[in-house]
Amino acid sequence: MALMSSTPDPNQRQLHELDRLGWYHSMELPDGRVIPGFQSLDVLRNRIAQFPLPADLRGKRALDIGAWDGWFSFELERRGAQVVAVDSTSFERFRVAHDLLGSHVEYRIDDVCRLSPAKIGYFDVVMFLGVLYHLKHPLLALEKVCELSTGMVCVESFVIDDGTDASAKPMMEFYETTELCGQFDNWVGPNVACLLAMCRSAGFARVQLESVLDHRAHVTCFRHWPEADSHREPAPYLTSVENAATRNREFSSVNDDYVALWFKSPCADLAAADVYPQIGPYGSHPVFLQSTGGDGWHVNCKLPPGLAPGWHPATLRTKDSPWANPVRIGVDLTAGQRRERPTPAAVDAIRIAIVTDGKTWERNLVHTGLGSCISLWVSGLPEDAARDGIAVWLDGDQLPAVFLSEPDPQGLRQINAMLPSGVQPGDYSVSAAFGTAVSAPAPVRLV
Amino acid sequence: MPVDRAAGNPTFSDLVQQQVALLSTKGWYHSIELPDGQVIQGMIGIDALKGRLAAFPIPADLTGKRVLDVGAWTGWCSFEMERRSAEVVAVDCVEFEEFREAHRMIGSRVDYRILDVDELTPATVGLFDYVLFFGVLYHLRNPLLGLEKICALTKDTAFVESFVIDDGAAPCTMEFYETNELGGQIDNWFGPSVQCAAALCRAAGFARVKLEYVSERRAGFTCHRLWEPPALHPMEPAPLLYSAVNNRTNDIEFHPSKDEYICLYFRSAAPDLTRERLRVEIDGYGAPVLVLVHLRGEEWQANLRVPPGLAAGPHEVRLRTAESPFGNTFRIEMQVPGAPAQPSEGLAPRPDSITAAPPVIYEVRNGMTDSDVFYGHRNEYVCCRFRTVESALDRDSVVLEIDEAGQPVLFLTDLGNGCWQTNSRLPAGIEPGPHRVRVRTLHSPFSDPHVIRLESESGAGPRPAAAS
Repeated sequence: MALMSSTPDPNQRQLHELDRLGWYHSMELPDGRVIPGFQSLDVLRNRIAQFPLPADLRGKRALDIGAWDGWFSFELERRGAQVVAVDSTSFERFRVAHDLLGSHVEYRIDDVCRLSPAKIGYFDVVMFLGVLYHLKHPLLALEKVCELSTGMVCVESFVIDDGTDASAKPMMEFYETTELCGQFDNWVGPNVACLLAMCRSAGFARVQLESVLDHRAHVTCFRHWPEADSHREPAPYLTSVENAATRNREFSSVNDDYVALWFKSPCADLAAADVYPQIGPYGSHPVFLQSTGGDGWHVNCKLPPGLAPGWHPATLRTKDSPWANPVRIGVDLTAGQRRERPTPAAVDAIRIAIVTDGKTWERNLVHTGLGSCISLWVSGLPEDAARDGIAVWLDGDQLPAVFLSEPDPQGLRQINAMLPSGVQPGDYSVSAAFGTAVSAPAPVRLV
Repeated sequence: MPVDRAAGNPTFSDLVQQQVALLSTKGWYHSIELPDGQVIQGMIGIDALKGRLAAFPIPADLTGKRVLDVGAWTGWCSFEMERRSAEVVAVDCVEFEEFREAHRMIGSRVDYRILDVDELTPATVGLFDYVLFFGVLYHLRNPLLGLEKICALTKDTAFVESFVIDDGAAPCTMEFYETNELGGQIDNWFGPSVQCAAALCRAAGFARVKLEYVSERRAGFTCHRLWEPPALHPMEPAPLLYSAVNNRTNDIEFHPSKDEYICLYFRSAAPDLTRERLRVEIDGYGAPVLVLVHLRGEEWQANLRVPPGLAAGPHEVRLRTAESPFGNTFRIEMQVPGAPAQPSEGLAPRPDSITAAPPVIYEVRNGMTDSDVFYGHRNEYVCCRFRTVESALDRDSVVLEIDEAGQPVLFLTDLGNGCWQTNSRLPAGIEPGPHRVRVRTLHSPFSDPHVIRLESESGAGPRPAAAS
């Protein structure tokens, strides 16, 4: 009987010796023999079959987080992917299987929350199976996973219900010690609704529940919207895109930043599920949608994780429409990138076309009082003019501009400014300024 | 004290009156008492603010103490802590003009910083005797991470106030708010039950968590980093701690920001030991035990989280029961952030420097079973006890070999009277049968070998000739 120490070539090891390593995954060897594990090949194949994974992954990069003995890593490699396997501790069985299979999978020992694109790059496919409920900060981990992914993420997690109760509110159990199965490395048990909500909240465009089998939920998370079936709806028109908190065009990937998009769409009764924002290459699902009157809408979405520092186009479409006009936003801009903005065009011809009350749309007449707002439609502003560079003058008073739209089809941009409290009714003149250029004054009556 | 001097000055009084009138229309959150007795009325009245604070055991005199107020908003709590003579840092995620105005009118010296909870570290704000964490927890996307950050800054006690979803009867759960479900606000993320909020505080690393009140969906917790003082007249003997290791690697090295756990192996004669009765300390900070396993006889294993905020370098672990004094200390090492785990290098033999007599091994035990039989389980340690004439040994000055192969010394303790103990792991893949253990110190040759036996528990492996 061959002893381990006398047969350094692992390929010559006998099955019963391999068996002593205590396998969790069964492992099929190239010669057809199978190392039996706690989970049979049928069980493993059924787990992966829950997800809409292509059979051919040639040319794709795949990441297997929590690889354990490595069956899923080796299966993705068998399908042609370039695979990185990650685990929090090094498993001898993974290394043995790696040798036996002659695998090229890259094996890394790291914690989920310490993974980053800078360390391991981006992946078309990420497997995140049986890990989430072992984590103290599940939402942080899902954000990390989202950041690493450019396509789809397969999430499998322990859940506390079967997901059939449509009225179930998202909630999770917290396990301080060994409440779950006597193991102290289980931290949270979400219900299906909570798992789906956390996946969406992590920054994915779409989240799809595939199945719940024996307290295990299978969820596919996509970073992109599906292609529109038809273009039965007209493209929306983006009037403004801003950081929902700071109201400027700059975003930070380390903050929990939200993108506010104002747009016009003739589609009536839009719901959040009908609006598909896209920032850079990634879709991001709406967290908030409201009508702003007429065909105007305002939607907020999370800045999707994983955007490189620099300028990215923000756009959106409705369910069956082409994409709207893109508007650039800046993410983690360096001083150099900030200077990359197009230089201001000649600003010799700022002209006020229309003056209205921001609420009643009455021409050249603004009602004073709490929250009163004056709206100007202006031509001649340079393309990259931002709200914080705009000044609105009411006689001698400078009013803070609270909104600047993108140009409409006539090339006019809307500027909203709040009237100061205590302003007296009467006839005034209003003008718009950008830098040193000032428009000719237009008359307005305050009542 | 410009404000005091301005008091009684009619011009200044008029100015303040105008400001009070103006500020009252600005929607202040906290009411603020000005030095001249006037009150800026905010959403929350002075009585309610005083009442909330009085629910927590915060000392009336905070002279010489540092206090952190996280989520200071308008700043009433910060200014109250300052009034009690503390050195105060107030933190918020956005800057409130009202805080600045109140700060100026009061003539406050509170240090106001705009930082997210994630950005709070001992490096950015220092350490604090007391931390106020009022009305912030449920606004965090990662509530446990936030509490860990708070724990790492706290030297003594944190006072945690939060929205809760029940009156204390519900199980340990939290609701997740994907959008604006809670109160129509998009900045609410989690609603914990009372039990869950307490469990999160303990899981974050606080030693003791006391529920102070639950009222109208708000709960207050006092979170202590220190255990209660040991009993004056201990009823139980101190436990003997013989190992404290990383549960993943089984060595004494730990890595910041990794989710690592300490496995303690100890001996205690205390009857009916439970995890709630154990008091583990790391550098004086209490750490709650997650799991207590009775191994056999007086042998126990306890697992606990590494408390947050340990600096790189050595840290002292010790433990007692609720009724015993503290026992011996055991040293663990926190690595520099990002540093790869380094296997400890054996001491190169230096025959020319040998000046001491060889050590004498008097026993080698399986740390898990306290016998001299080993099975090759990952939690079994080779505990080698020996006598040597050398003194002031450290881990780097002891070499232990099993079958002539050096093994890292994971632990070294001075048992007194020239007796020492090392802990090492059995090398992976060694066969059942007898194995020779020997040891040398900095200036000595190797001891005579001591034979231990590895049993094949499953019987699946080949039996050595000696055993048949």
